[in-house]
Amino acid sequence: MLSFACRRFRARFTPGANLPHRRACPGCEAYAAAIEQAAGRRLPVPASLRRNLRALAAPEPGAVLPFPVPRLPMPAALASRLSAIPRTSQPARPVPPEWIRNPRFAVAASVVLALLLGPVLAGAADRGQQALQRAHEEVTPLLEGAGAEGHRELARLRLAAAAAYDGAHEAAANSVRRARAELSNFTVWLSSTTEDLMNRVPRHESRRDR
Amino acid sequence: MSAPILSPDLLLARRAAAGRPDAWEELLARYGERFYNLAVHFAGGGEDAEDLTQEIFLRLYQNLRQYRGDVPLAAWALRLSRNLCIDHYRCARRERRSAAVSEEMLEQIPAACEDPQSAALRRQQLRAVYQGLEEMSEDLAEVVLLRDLQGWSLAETAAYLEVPVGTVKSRLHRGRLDLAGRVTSRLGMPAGAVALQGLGVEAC
Repeated sequence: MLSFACRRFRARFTPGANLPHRRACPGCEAYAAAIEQAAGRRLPVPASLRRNLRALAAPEPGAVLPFPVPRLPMPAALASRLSAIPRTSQPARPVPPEWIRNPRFAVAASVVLALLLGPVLAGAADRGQQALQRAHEEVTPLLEGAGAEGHRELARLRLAAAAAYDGAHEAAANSVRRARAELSNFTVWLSSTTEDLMNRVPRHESRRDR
Repeated sequence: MSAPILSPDLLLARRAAAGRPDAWEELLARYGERFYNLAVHFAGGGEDAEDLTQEIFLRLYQNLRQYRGDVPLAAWALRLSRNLCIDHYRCARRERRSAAVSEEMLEQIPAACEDPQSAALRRQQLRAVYQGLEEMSEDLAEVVLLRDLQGWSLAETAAYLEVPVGTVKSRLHRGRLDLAGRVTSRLGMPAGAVALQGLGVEAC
């Protein structure tokens, strides 16, 4: 009958594990050694696999040199020149697509659009022209009627304006004539009055005479 | 409806295009050394490589707004400067600079390999590979350079070259065969070896 410690050791043991109970118990030491011996047995590696594994460490079959070509370290001066490239140069902008840069594509696109939209637009244009024609037919008599009426109205207004102008002109002329007559009368009266005043004897002379 | 998930590259590009200095520094940290090493291969090292690296990054910065995230950013950035890289590469080939491995690169080898004999062998192989690349056709050499010498993935290489991944694999296979033939003949090794792996060279 195994003790609790032995049972626990054997349950936890894996090949290669160095548990303290193994050194203390000869039975468990024998058990561990047997397990490890059994675990060490492995199937032989197939010859083809062995060749492949060996080839992993060897240079590539067929390579021109059985050793890698030495790699040169980059000179420090060159490294600094390369680091300075972003400061002295700019990344080029992406080139626009060919269909943007080439006018032939624009012409071709126009032709295609014309072919595709031509029937649709032609129908719309016909309908628009018909509507315009109809509107023209309906509006023209109205415009013509309105024109004749307008001409008559204009003539009547012109006569009325001429009569009004003549009346105003006559009134203004009468006023001017009256004003001129009044002015001449006033001038005559003013001349006579001035003459009277000039022919009188001065006041101090009359006093002296008295 | 959930928002579309943006790739890390696209997020980084948008932040950098918006004028965030930290994003540009992150971009430099991620791709600076990578592009510089590639420029060393294209331009043959020296000031030309530095100028080429700067031009790659300048074009990248100027075109950041146009990046859509559909391809890896490294491949897209290098694609912007592809003609420039090719011009440098042809110029270096004319002057036979591309065949010469830079001394800086050769100095890096002993650090990775403690054995002096192995290090010397590696240097010899590296020189032979570079000379072989110079003699190869450009399209094959480019794929081998990106994939094998620079460690680019197949997807990145395909995106940069604007070809399918299968084409990259095909070119890579032909390029390796071509290069292996040239290198083996240059090193005085027996002909017929597919690659340097078949030459018995051991990595340390």
